[in-house]
Amino acid sequence: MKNRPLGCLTVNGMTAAALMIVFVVVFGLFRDGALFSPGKLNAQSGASLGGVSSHSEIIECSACHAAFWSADRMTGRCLSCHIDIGEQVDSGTGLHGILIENREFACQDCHTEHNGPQASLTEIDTGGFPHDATGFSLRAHEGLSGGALDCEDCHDNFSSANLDHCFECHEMEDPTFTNEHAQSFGLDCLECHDGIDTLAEEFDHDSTGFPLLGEHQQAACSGCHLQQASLEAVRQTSQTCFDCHAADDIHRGAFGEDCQVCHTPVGWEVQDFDHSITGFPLVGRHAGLECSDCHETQNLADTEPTCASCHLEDDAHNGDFGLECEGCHVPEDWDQVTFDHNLTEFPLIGRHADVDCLECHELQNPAGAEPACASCHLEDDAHDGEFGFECESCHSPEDWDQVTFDHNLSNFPLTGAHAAAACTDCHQDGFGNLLTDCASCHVEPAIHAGLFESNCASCHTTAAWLPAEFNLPHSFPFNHGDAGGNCQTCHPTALTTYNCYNCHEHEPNEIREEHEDEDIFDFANCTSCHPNGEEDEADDD
Amino acid sequence: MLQSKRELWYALAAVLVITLLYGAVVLVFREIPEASGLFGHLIGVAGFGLMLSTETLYSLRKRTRIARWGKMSSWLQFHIFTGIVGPYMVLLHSSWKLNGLAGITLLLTVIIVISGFIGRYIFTAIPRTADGIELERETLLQQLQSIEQSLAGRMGSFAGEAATASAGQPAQVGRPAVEAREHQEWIRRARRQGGEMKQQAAEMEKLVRRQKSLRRQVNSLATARRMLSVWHSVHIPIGMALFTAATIHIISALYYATLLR
Repeated sequence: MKNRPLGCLTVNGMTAAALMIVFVVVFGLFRDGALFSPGKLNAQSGASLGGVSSHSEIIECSACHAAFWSADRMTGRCLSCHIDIGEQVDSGTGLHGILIENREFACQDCHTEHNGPQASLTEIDTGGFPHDATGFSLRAHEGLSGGALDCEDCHDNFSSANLDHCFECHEMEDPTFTNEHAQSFGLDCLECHDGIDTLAEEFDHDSTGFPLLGEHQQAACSGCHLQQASLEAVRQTSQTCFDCHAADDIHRGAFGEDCQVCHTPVGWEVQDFDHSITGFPLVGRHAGLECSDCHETQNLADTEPTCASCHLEDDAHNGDFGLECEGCHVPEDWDQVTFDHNLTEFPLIGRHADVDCLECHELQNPAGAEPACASCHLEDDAHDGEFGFECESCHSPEDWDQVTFDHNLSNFPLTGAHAAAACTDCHQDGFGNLLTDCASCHVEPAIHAGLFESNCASCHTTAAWLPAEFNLPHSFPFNHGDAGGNCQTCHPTALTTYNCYNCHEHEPNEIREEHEDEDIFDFANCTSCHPNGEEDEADDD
Repeated sequence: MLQSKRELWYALAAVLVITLLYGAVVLVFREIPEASGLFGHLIGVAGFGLMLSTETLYSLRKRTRIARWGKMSSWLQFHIFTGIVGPYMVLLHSSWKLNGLAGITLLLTVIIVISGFIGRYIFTAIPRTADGIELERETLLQQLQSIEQSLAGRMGSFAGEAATASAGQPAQVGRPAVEAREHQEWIRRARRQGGEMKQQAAEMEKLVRRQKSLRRQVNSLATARRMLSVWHSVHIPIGMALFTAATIHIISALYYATLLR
């Protein structure tokens, strides 16, 4: 058997191949590269660029397709007509400026052709298209139950999304939520949502500086962000409790607006509240009380921070001490009284310091104890009220006997020997009616023989009875025989009599002998012959 | 030479596998794979490679004197397999678009596959040796005579029973229809007897089929040869046009798309 040539090398085969080549060449000559076109070009008219208003008007393939061995690029040929796109990329503005960070891009990465006159010029793989750069990520829209998201699902054009489509799709997914959400926040979805659920289920509220704790975790977004139809408005949401919970304030504003001082997001029930900030720290027995023991209503402001607001019925004093219990009592115990009596007008000093309260104050009528000595010591008044009731004028709390009366303030200053006299030396019969004349206390001595009556001060001072200074007419020299004013020298028994004997040479025997020598037998009245006490003056008579 | 249809089943299985793979891609990407995409390119390149194999390997094996590897029948089966699977992959590669040269290429592909199916049946009508050498009419007649003798011998050993069974019926030896009924009756009875006769019935069946095939081949040999010649004169130019168009399509695709910057 001879070795026949391959079928393709037969005349028929070669002819057929040649005819095909001729066909392609001829077709190419008349229709340029149409034979190689995978489909018709887009025929949607737009602004006239590069002399055409749609790609379908372009005849030559080389208008867009550059030979791969040349330095030219298809992108360069696109931008030669689409000058505005090049400007966007260069300036970083517009959609292309945002999407393309540098000039290293190819138009055909996103835009396609030859898909028919009415086909979209943009076919972007949602997985590959950097949609995040537009400010709206498609991450949350990937793998949807109804199928992958196509551009047309959101875009009527690529410059902006049709937000109606957001509502339409999401309403199908969850009509109840979507309608409530639209009613609460409006339909301008992109004002808040960026497509990566930063404001939805997986949104980390901690990133806002206001972590959702406790009951806040259960709150609907609209609970705080109602009618906030923009992200900026949401960001401006007040983070103070009162701005949201004003209506919940059972205190009716009485405690101000700093709810967090007492409450936590765990619940309105107060946990570990520091009562000291109220100005009424819970100490002593108060520390173990339940809130409701003092706060009968939920409006805590209804309870005044006073003892009486709770202990009015416990007041053993029936209100006589007023309502400031804390003046005497401490929260530890009613009986632990710490009243500083010194703060009153009646300081407890001396023996009062050790006196039990009830010795002065009646339990049921503590205020009945007047700050006057007599209120307690009336029965102790040794003066029977004679000196009135201002005991403190004379007595001190140290001792009844420790009298500190300043007699100088009276109309009878105690001078001289009076100063050392005991009160009772004068006030033997009381203090009230004692006259200030000497005779009230002093009896005229016998020596006066009734000469001076009560005119003591004429001769005596309070320093002492003696020496006395006689200021009345005295016919006989005072200092006779160096008597020195001592009346008793001459008047040993009474001032109405005198006795010259028993003094120097005035011995009776001697006087008698001396007078009898001179034949004087009546010599009993010495002064009659010796009025100046001189021995020789009698001779003159 | 090509008695079984195994290659068709293999081709069908391959087509099913490829279809499933294609369907999976469609489901995953929710779109028809673009010819210029990765999957589109893969099936396009693979399909074209199989088609090129279809066109060249069998012809080379048939015509070479040096590398006579494998039986021609196996190469023909491979030729048919690749001739079905390759075009199918190219069809999928087209992404169901029939524009321009690509569309022409696809159209030629469809035509040549149909042509191939027709050619396959014309080809099998011509008896060949295992190496693909056509048998002459005389050789076929000798084979037919040998088989008929063998059949007659087997029928003769069974003559007594056959005569009893066909008592009252006139013998019609030489008439194919009558012969065929007698052979079937013989086979039916032999099967009914069981044992060794059952095995003989199977051998008898093969002989009958071979006799039938040889008679048809003898009768249609001249016609089949004429038809095959005509078929060649059509199929090969279509194939050449197809491969020329495909080559230009590949070059243009490389120029306008793959290597585009």
